[in-house]
Amino acid sequence: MANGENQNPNPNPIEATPGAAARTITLKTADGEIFEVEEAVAMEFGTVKSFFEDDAVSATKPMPLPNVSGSALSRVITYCRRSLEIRSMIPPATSEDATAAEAVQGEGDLEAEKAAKQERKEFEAEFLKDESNEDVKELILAANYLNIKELLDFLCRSVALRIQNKSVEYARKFFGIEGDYTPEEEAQIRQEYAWAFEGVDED
Amino acid sequence: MNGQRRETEFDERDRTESESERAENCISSARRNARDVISTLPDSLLCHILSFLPTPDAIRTSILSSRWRPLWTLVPILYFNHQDIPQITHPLEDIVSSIFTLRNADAGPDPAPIHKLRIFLFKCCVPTHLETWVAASIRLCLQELELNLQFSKTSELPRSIFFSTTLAVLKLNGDILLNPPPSSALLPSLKIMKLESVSYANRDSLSTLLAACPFLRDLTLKLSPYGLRNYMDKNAGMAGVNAIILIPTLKRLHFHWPIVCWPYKVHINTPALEYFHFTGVLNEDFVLEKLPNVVESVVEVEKWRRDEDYAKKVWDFMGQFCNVISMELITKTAEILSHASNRDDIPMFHNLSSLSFSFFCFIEWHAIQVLLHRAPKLQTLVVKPWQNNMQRVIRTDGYLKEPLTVPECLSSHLTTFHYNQFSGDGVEMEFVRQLLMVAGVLKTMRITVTSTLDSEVKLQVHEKLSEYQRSSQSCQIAFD
Repeated sequence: MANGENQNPNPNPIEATPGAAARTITLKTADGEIFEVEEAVAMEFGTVKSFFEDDAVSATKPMPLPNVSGSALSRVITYCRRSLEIRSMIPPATSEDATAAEAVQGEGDLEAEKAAKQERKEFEAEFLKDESNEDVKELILAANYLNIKELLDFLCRSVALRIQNKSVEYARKFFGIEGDYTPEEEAQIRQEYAWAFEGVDED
Repeated sequence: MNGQRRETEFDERDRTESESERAENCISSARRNARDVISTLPDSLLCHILSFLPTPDAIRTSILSSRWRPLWTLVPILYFNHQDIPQITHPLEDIVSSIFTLRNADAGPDPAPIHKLRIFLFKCCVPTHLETWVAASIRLCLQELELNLQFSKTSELPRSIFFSTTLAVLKLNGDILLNPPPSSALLPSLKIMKLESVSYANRDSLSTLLAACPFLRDLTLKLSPYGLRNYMDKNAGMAGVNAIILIPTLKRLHFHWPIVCWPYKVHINTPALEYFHFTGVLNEDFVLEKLPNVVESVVEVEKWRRDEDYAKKVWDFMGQFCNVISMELITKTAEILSHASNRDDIPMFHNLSSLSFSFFCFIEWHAIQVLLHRAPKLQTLVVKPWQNNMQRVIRTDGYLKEPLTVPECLSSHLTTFHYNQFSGDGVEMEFVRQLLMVAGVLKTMRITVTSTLDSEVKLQVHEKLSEYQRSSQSCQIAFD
């Protein structure tokens, strides 16, 4: 098994020693819960980021989040924290818009990238394991309101995957949707898109 | 996305109710039905969910309830991949056409934009269809087009593409013919282009297209031997596609031109380039201007000639991106270089920090050492597995004579060394032994053995490696 990998000299900013001067940002949810979040994590929230970019003075007062409940925010923070950790496992990769300084990618990075991918896969599978549809919906709304693209995409992609290649009956059951077409209407749709209903899993 | 929606034909019950009212009713009925939480999400979020589905799956949701009926038409992505639906018996091109028709019909007079169109088909006949699909998408502000046609009749890429002001990404693969109109084509928004195994109408088709993309950032060109089978100019004589790449904004270039025999002209002038992946031969008509900003390069020069002149050419070629920080030499490149490694004017690589290469018969080590002499700041050296599945030749350690002078980077800069697919044979062991002797600041030596190695032998190899004398006190051997 691999051991003795390259030491990562950059300490994870999230795991700063307690009591160290890591700036925190205070957030207040719709149901009155107060959260103190590390700045790096809070800046993952697009709405928080632009709020503080516009008005640096308000850094002292708790930022109100009237559309997010305490339980949802707690889950969101967990996700963003973990996501940041995983992302810090690899140095920034070359991308279309990378500057020259970011474009260095030595051999060790490919290993790190693979490891990070695997960690993300496991973490994301675990994250949604016990969530009900109601929870997922709340998270989607929160991620949308807070403008966290990565989390929103992950949640929506996961929901999509649950119904991909499945029959209509399965999707209805999974979402708890009551169909409201008349039998004639439904038959007409099925006929029009006949090929789309061919051969999908019945469960 | 909101606004007047035309009533559906099937709306027998509620002719007077507009669709937005129906949606509202559905949402409130969903709220009453405590289990159906998903439908309470706003349209935009439901569409976002649907955007992660292949279009046939998205279309299927229209039958879930009347709320869901129009949603798939609002998704700005059309993605159709035959591999997702192998069981379909209808002709694939007809299905794609019906998707376009239905989308327009169900969406009313103001259809939602199509930002991404991705179509993967095989064994299809699409020439006339393609014109319709592309024209319809361009009208709806197409930003990304990806077409992959395999084992199909070759279709010419519709001309309307070459004038799109919104297209930012173009990816083409397979049975597609490029015949851009000379001088009038312009793609001002195009940032990313990938052309893989496509056909070209004539020698200048590619250059014409590239000249129409003045703000391109990322270009991948992979020519296949079949790329010229649809040459329209029958009088062209020896076929060959020229590649004149003069793009001041280009940051990434992946150039894969594995053709040896056919003459072609290549001229690359891309001063902003940061990433350069090259596979091909350096023939007479190959011009590469200086690339001072390249920081990462992968070089796979094909063995066209085995002589000193050609090797010189390759060294000079590499010298054009001598500021590179990370470099990988694939397959025969290192071997080719070794045919001219006794020159004095081999370029310096002052910033080279990481180098990867492969050993075939260890003749490569000679060229690599020369390179190491020219790379004073090298920190990471990686021996990658040999690319082909060829049996390795019987190696001798004849190429491993200890050098008179050890490259400076080995003794004072190299901190990481990784050997992949280590087999533990005599030559490899000797190589590692020599390296350990001279690497003065080596921190990590990582040996990854081939999977076929017996665990007994593996243990022996590990023991033997641990016994070798190490010049660096802090050197750790990682063995896996």
